[in-house]
Amino acid sequence: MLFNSLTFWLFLPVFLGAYFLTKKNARLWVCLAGSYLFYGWWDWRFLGLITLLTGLNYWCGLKIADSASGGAEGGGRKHYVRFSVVCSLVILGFFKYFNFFIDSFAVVSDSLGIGFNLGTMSIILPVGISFYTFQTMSYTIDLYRKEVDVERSLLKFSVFVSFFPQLVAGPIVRARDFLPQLQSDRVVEWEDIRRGTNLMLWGFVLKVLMADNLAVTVDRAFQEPTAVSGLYLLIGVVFYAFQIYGDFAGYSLIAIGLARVMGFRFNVNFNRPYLATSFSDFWQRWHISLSSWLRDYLYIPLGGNRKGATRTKINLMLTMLLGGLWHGAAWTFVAWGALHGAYLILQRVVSTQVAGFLPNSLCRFIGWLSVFSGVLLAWVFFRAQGFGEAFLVIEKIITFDRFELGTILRRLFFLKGLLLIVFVFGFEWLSSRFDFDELARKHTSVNSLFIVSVLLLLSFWGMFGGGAFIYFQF
Amino acid sequence: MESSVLRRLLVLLAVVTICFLVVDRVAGYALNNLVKQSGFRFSELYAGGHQADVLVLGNSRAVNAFYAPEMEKKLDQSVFNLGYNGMSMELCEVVLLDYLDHNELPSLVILEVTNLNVSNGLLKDFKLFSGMSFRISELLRSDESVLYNASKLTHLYRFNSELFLRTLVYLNGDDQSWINSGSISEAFGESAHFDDETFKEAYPVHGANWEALIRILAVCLERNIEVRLVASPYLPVYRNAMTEYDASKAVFIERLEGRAGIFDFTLALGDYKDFSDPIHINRRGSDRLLEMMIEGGVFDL
Repeated sequence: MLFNSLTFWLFLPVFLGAYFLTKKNARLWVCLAGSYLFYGWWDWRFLGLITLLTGLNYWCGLKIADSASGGAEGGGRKHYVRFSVVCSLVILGFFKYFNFFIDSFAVVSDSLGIGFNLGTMSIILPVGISFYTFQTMSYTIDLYRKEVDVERSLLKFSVFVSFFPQLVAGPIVRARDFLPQLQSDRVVEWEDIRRGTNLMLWGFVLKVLMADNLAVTVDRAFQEPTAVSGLYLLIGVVFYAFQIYGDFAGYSLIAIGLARVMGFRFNVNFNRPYLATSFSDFWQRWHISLSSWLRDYLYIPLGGNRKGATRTKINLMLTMLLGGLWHGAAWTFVAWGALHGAYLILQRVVSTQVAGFLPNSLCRFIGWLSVFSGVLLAWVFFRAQGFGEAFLVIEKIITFDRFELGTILRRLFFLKGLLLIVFVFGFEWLSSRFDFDELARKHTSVNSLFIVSVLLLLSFWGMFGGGAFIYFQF
Repeated sequence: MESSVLRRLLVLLAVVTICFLVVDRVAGYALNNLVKQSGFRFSELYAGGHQADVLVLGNSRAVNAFYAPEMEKKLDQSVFNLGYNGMSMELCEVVLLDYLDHNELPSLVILEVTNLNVSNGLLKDFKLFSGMSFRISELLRSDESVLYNASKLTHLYRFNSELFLRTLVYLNGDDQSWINSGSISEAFGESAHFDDETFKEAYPVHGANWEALIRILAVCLERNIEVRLVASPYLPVYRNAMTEYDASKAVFIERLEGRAGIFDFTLALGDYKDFSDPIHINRRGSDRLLEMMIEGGVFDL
């Protein structure tokens, strides 16, 4: 079920009605049933996978906790957390990476003249598997680290794993943030509904208004890179940067807003990433729940920056490579991760050299320009179907093969997209300077004006073709 | 949820709904008037009072094959091209009937007839005119019920289409001079290869488009309007890939039972410079086609 589908809008009022009419365990059952219906609508067979991961991590959690209370410090607990992590990774690896590794192995063996082909399998990638696998893994690891209390209620744990607003495309919610909120009935106040609704509406602006309109230009550029000019491709790449932001940040906002309407509070997942002035700043603003997950469960356990300069660089690169691979089973995603790893390493080297030489404002501008250009280059690999296409796009942009600005300006969807980017980012920039939310909180008329304006805008320019969210594939 | 919160929510919903509907209707009304003032072809149709001797209908192939300004010059008659990209025969019928309702009767209708395979996808954009045409509204209701209901709920949604953006582009002039100007390269033309999988039935004699064509012929006959069915040129390599073209055309002519024949120009042009892509001729090609049409007696009444 997609947030931007009619089915969801028929499902939501029924679900919320049942949610608000029930209390305690009955409300949790409503949450669980709603979440399973939401997920099963796509393919009911994969409900078994969620149930399996839920059961496995619930059982491992109990064992880890009981081993600790039984005094078996270390040994038993370590076995259970390893078992949980390995099983989760095996499941993720099978569904997401099996064919990728088989194909890659075949290519390597061919190049070595061995010609060893194992043959691939027809495997459907379950929607959101990367998100809920990471979410359940964080629970058992945190439990092992004693950073979260064990959850002994299977019902509450099942709701934690399958909570539908963020189930299929994040944000990845940590057990320590979410499980405590499931311990008692959420008291939904007016502020929750107001704020939650506004977040959802802005999420729809990002997705239905901006991202889906930009997709028209982006798809054309990447479907026929040979047929369009370098300038058109450059515009396509810039538009893609904003499309993927609108698509993913939009989904996150809808998820966070919907949870807030139900009384749950999740952390922000995006914080105006394209205003970042350094690459580390970018990763503190983009997909925050994933980058902090990778930091806490990969980068720091690898040694972080505690084991010298060279090891720090290796850790950064490894973390970003795996971060790239998390997004998809293709070498282009690995290349995307490698580029970001290289940027972070380069930043560490360069920033220490130039610090103090340039005025702060100039430094920030150069930093912003470098980050935005670097991120754009990386998006080419993220969006392209293969390395051939990625290099073709880059080559055509650099060589600027045809200058056809007039033709491009006559394309209505280009002008519409440009206008929408200016509108959305203008509003986001203004809201970073001026607290609109506080004004809307104090004055119902301002809040009503915001809602009516967004609804009118969506009616007038929103794309309602039911375009799937890009991050569903991850 | 506490009752005070629920009460506040209901009040907000009522206020938002009322404000939304009021602004939506007012904005919809204003934009409707704006659409009628545009020089875009369908805006002119629904603004009414148009007087054309020759009316052209069809999909993008009609748009690019029949260049109205040149036709007016050569024929010394007023010509109005109402073709549009992706227009099916069923939509052609709706547009023709609406034209006849709002404007003077033409003496000749040129119908580019190779759109019998085209679906009604363009109807989604035509919701722009659903407030002006009960026929479009009805077709929308039967083919796209969700869109129909959405455009009833919010009038602004009717303007959420590429057609509306086009009406804005042509606010200060008409769009009759809109035609492809580029041409395909010789290298492309020589390397092009097409298979005939999609061309099994060039002229289907069943389905909604066929029935619409029969009704168009009947209406024109009833109102004393001449109709010419014209098939405009394809790039020869493309046309030759349609291995069952002649068989399909023969069945089509037979089923028309003398109501009309086809002026078949599908293989009339062979120079790459006359084509902007394999299925569309360009300005140069349209000039050459016009001469052939005149010589072939298409405009003889």
